[in-house]
Amino acid sequence: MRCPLNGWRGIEEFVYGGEVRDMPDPDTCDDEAWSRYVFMRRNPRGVVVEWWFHMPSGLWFIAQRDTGSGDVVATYTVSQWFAQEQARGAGVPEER
Amino acid sequence: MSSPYAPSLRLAAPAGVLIDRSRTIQFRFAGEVMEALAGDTIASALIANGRWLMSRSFKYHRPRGPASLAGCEANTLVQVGDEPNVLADLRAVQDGDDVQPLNVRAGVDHDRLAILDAFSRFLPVGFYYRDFYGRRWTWDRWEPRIRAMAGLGRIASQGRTHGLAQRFVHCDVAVVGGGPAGLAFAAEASRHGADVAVFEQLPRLGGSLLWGRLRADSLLDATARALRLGQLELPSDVRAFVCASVTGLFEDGLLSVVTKDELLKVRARWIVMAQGGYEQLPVFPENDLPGVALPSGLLRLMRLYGVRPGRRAVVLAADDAAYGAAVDLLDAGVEVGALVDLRGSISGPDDCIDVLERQGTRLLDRAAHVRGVARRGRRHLDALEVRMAAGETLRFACDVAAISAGTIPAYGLAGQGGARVRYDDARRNFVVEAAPGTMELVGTMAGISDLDGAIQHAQERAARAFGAPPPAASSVDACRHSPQALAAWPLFEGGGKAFIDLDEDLQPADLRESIALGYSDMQLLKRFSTVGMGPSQGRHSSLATLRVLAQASGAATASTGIATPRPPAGEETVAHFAGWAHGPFRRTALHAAHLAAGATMMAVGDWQRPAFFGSPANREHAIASEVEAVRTRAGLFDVGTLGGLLVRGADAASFLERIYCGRYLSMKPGGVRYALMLDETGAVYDDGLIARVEQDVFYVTTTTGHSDAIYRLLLRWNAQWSLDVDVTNVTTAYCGLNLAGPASRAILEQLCGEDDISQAAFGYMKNRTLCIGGVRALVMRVGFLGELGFEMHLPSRHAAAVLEKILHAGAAHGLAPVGVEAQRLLRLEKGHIIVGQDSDAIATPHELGLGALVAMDKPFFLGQRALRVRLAKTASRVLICWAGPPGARSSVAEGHLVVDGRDLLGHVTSVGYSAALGRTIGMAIVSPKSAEPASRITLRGEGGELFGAEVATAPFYDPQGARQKL
Repeated sequence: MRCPLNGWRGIEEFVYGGEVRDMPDPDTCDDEAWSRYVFMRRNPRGVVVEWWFHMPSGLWFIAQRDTGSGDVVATYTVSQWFAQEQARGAGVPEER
Repeated sequence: MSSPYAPSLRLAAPAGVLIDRSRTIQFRFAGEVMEALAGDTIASALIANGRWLMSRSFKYHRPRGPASLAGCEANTLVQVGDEPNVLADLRAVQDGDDVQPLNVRAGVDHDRLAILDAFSRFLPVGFYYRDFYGRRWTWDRWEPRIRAMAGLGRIASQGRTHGLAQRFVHCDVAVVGGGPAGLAFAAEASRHGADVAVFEQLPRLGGSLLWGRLRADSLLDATARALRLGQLELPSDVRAFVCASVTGLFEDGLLSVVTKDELLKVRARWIVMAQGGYEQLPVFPENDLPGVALPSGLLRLMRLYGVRPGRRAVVLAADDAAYGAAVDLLDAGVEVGALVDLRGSISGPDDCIDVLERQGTRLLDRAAHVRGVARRGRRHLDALEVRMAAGETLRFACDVAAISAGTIPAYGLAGQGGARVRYDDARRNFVVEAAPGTMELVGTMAGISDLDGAIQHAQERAARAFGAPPPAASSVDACRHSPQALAAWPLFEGGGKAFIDLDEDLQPADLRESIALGYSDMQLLKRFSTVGMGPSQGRHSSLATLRVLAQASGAATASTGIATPRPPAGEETVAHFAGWAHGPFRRTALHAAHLAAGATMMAVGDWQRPAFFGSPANREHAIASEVEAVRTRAGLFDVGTLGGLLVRGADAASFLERIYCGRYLSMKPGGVRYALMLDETGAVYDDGLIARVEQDVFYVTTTTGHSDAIYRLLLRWNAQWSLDVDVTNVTTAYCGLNLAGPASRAILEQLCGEDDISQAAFGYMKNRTLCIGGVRALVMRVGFLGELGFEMHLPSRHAAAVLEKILHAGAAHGLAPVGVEAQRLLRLEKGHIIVGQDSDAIATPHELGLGALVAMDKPFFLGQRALRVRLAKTASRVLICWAGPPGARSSVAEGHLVVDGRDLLGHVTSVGYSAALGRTIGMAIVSPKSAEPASRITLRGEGGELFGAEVATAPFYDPQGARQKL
């Protein structure tokens, strides 16, 4: 896998961190919405945006991965990704 | 021996390439002593001794002998000594082997349960589904009988208990199958610099070059074969694994390869499928008689093991390979009475036809029916009866029949690896295609049955894959030119049992009945009828199954689909996957010192920690004296396994407030607070201590098991919240020592120079940076164990030296090194929980009695939102402390149940005998109705022992907590 900081590294150096998701506002959302956030996962087939961690350097980053083929399409640093998302005006986690 | 026909003879060399005629071996079959040659399989040795009948079938107990001689069917499963379910046609026979047939009562030749054959209508297809689904009571009645009838082999309860070795193999190219196509690819890829490994099931590379006879003229003699093998000789840097069967292909190209004493986990960039194919069993009555075999099986028997299969043969052919086998049988001195071409015309290679005609073999086409004939007891084939379309019935006396309906590619592994397998109507065969980019198909797997074409194709694929420019006039596609279409052979039914699946004793009628019951999808048909579910995994039955399904359901053959190929593609044992009891573990900086002090070590998470100091024989006494040392003098613990994180930055306190349940913004530098972390479901996830070392520097400890995960978790939230914080994992950079007991201050005072560590200067739940024996250490006043205590975190490289100084300084005070067991008991006396032992994945802090530590009014912390929801509901469980009657010990252990008659009230989470209290004490998670202090509960211990206990108020020891604040 290509770490955005360290380049190509063996897959055993990485830890998977699940899909990038927005946390609903805990003060305003209802129990139902919070429960969905805590327990439900989309698990789609296709390209998803995920958290990945490079263990030796302690770096969380963002990867686009095709769950059908297992191919990693692209990787970004967290700041790259969210800057890009902000520019597109979508999908920014509320917690930021 | 009661063989119905004369013993076979060994053939002269060059037949028998795998046997060593100079070494004779003795083994026993069903108690009878037999001779074999070194290199023989059990099956080849038995046939050389005139015995084809090796075991009986699973369901009807019909006599069975080998068909493929390649480990492809269940017919050859035998018991060897303690080892059940050994494939007799793959396992090399060893001197002294004690071989027993399977599915046999009172002898393989005269089996008492052979009567089942006559009553087969009482064992209908789908027997299990029909009779037991939703009718539990019938199963209870039938189970013992079914088990007695059906058990495949006996597992020796006193047998081997250790696993086999596991090993990783990394390479550029993994070639599955060491036949001509695989070898051609391997050699060519290696010439282009690739690192290649070849996996072959037989003890020697060569595949069909060792035994095959594609045409009469090609590979006619030993010289031609040797020449071919020489051409395909592998460069010396290619790794060849023989006696190695590839059983599975998993995610990311992981291959599992099973050898006699190893499991190889193979990772390759490219996987080459070169397994060849499986001959299909023509379906006709009595096609399962011993003596009836596949042409490839007979060729293997003759060429590999030098065994003449019989005296007189009949061949059922549907492709050229069977004509080659007929010629080979003639060469071996077997009379070939007839060759029946199932394709409806005599269309074998001309040279073969010439040879056969010269030798007096009758070549027949247009057969309307074929039937095997055997004497009473059906122990061996006696004749084959052929009824011609014209009406005439011919009977050929024979003791061996070579039968084949054509060869399908061995698609299982490729299918597991993501290649598409479909039935092609034009070729009347399965086609493997759309292989992923990292998979290559060669030889029969690519649909190429011609030897020269297969070799050339494989070489070109390898050259193309490894950088060489493709040849100008590429013949890669050209050599796909002649995939022979398989014959549309008929199913001959009537006049006896005609089998499609030998493992499961299934006939066409069984499949039709299943289809009529509605199981008309291939996946459902497989599950209901069990076709293809036996050890042979449909290797010889999938084509016939497909045709029956297509006929019966009126669908086009191509649209019926195939059953999904799944691992394992070959036999593997639990011992292969058990592996060695080999778990890497972590050691603290004090590991060597503990061993020198005589510690008995135990595994805690990833770590090795001292359980207690002393020999295992002295366990109880050692733990009791360590507990006593802490309570009356002082004890020293290694807590270096705790996670240690440095959280620094202007936002560090607010960051920790968002992660943990407590308050840290209000904390002063020099303070220490308990740290409790929840997960997003509001359940307790971890605990530790947080010391504010400086205004912007916090030292955070985590439990032993979670240090890495919590480090990641902190980094991830930091990445999202973008606060001014950095997190450093110092778990192994720092070692931890906990000095506890009434004498601990007096001991430490000797080592920290001028520093005042009196209660007034260094109070309970405070932290200081002290120089201990010349080493700077972060010291926290804590009381987890209920005594005055100092927890020191210092650089690991100095830990052993400091340990020695403390032990030296403490000698006069009766200081003792203390292990994990005493520590667990000491904290239990204080009623302190261990997260992960007394809590589970769903317990809230309030259920664990930690509610007071949760600052619910903070704006946000992890798990707060979910906890709010859960606190609004009535708790269904609560953690309690309990105590047994004075002096009473019991077998109750962690995980045992809290019961009320037949009702379950909860389970025990911790238990220990407290010498200080003279009682067995513990904790349990129970329903709130049994949690009232002083109420009685009943614990169920080992073997059902009932132990009465009383719900107690924690802590048992020093309830006011005065001793830790001294």
